[in-house]
Amino acid sequence: MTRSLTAALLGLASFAFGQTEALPKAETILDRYVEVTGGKAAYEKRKNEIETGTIEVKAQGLKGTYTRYMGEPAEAYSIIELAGVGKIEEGVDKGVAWEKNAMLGPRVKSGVEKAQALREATFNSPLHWRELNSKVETAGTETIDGEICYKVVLTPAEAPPETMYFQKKSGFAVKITTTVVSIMGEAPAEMFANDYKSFGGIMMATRITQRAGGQELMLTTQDVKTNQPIAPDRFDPPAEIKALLTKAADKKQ
Amino acid sequence: MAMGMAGWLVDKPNQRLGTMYMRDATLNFVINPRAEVFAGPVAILVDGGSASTSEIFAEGLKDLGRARVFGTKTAAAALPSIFERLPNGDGFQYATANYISEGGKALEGIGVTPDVEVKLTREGLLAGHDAVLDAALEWIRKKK
Repeated sequence: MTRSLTAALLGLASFAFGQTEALPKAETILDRYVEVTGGKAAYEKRKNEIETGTIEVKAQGLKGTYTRYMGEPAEAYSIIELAGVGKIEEGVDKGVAWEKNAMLGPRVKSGVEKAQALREATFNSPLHWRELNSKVETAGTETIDGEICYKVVLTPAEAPPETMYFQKKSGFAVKITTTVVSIMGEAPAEMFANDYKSFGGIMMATRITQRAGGQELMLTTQDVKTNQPIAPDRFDPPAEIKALLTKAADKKQ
Repeated sequence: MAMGMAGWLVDKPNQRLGTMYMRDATLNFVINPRAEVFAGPVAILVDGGSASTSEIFAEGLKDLGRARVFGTKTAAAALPSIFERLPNGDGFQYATANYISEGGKALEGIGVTPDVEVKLTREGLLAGHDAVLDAALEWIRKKK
């Protein structure tokens, strides 16, 4: 009796295994993300955005604010003002990626770090996953905060792969893991995205928790304004960066 | 902060002040040279109140041969740390990384040993002299 019940249970187990749902293609998951966050038409109406919010570095007890400007096709400028640390600025302008802060000084990014910056600066990036990645594939499922998520590995041509986790039910991206590359080296990073809200017809995560290099950052979006009159020179690199570009050009000659 | 400051003093690219070893990453303290870099002699003044980033800055530039360090031994407290509140209300501070200078030296518990050891004296201060600053200025004058 016991033996037959065990055999029946094993049979049931194998039946259940045989019934495992096939994973959707990564292409389907990424296109669904565009749909659930507003749809292609809504993204295409957006030409630029200005995002404002707060930032907190818990371990150091640091708090501050941030403003990020983004524009087509891949222009970006962001400024973080942290009490006790000062301004942290970075940007991308016409293919030049740069950073300026008191910790590292002003510098122009190159190599993989530059490739990552250009990728992050791509405006309406969910629409452009095909151009931004040389390969995408579904790698399984994982439960995050009680929700089953599809795990999608995106491999760019010039940067380390990143894994995105999309909720099966909602289609929203709730986690990203990748390797952050900087002049200081490489560090694994994970980012959790929560509290999706609508701004200009697009659903965006308004609470981002990022862990990298032993630090945990929390970004809370307060507002996102789209199609704003942004000054033409907003994305120009600051004078210190221009001076570094001139110095590099002079050395080449 | 040490890397940002060192960029004013070091023009050669890819120079490092040292390396920070974390559980899941190794971070190189690479100096980013500024557009205009000071090429003259550099003296760094330290004492027991010089801790953390100031020790990384002093030892890093000393190891690179870019600066001469004057004063007394530093605090020997260079590592980044995190504070946690324990359930009983106590605070718990722990280091999250180790730091090794470009010359291969740990600073935690050891500190930076000045190239030129100079101590402040009560008599000197009362007479309006800072012996450490005086020694550094004297060295700079000789270098010119």
